[in-house]
Amino acid sequence: MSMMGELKFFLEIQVNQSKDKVYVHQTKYIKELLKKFKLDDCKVMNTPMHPTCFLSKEDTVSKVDQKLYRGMIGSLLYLTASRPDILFSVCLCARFQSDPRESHLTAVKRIFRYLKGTTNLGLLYRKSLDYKLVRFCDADYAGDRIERKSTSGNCQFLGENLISWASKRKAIIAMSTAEAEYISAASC
Amino acid sequence: MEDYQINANSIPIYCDNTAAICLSKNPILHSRAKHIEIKHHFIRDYVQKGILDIQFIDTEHQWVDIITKPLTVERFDFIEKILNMHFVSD
Repeated sequence: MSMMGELKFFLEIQVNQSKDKVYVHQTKYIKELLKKFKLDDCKVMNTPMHPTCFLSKEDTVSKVDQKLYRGMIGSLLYLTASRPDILFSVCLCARFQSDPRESHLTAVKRIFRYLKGTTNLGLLYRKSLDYKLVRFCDADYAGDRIERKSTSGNCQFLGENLISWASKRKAIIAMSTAEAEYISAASC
Repeated sequence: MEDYQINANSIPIYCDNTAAICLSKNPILHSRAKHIEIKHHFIRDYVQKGILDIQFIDTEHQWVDIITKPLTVERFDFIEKILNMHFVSD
């Protein structure tokens, strides 16, 4: 092993270190993605998904290139390593990979438009002496309109720094909000 | 965790549903909760042992909203700040 100095750039993840804080971001990767999918001159959006957005399996809308759609989803999934904010929208779009339609591609493009406005957004880790592990968990009862399955999400903080996060559509159809929340609490 | 002298007992879990919290604190199996799979009931044992501590939090302070549902601009930006997401200045 050879000493190569301070960690700056590793597997498309950039790390900016200073005395009492560390930034983890993927600015370069996002810029490359926008160029790769020819979306670098699109308009900027404030959120990755519209609050009333509802994606479903379509039959009437025209099909889109599956290779392109899967490529976009794959690249975005890697991006969630430093971006918990797009995790939900990417996971939602990823469910339509088997039969992508025009409406699904529009939703994915919206994520890219959001990313364009927030290329240099990253996670900040501050130096602190507070090492209290705290967990938040929540469930969206029957959030998936097609199969009526619940989506559970959780994130763990160590002190005030976010260390891990997850979003998952559960395999079981919950009978009540309480059950959905109970399962999400138990899924650590 | 223990190597770093971090006490891993009674880790707080914040949940925004009182019914789910009551369910986890009550060791008796009710007919209403009968259909929930056994593997999910392990949380009761942990609450009993005192390793986990489930607490209520109102929806306003439930930051996980950002990864379970699509949100409005104001709420989205607000939670982003809480999750320690900031713009990197070069």
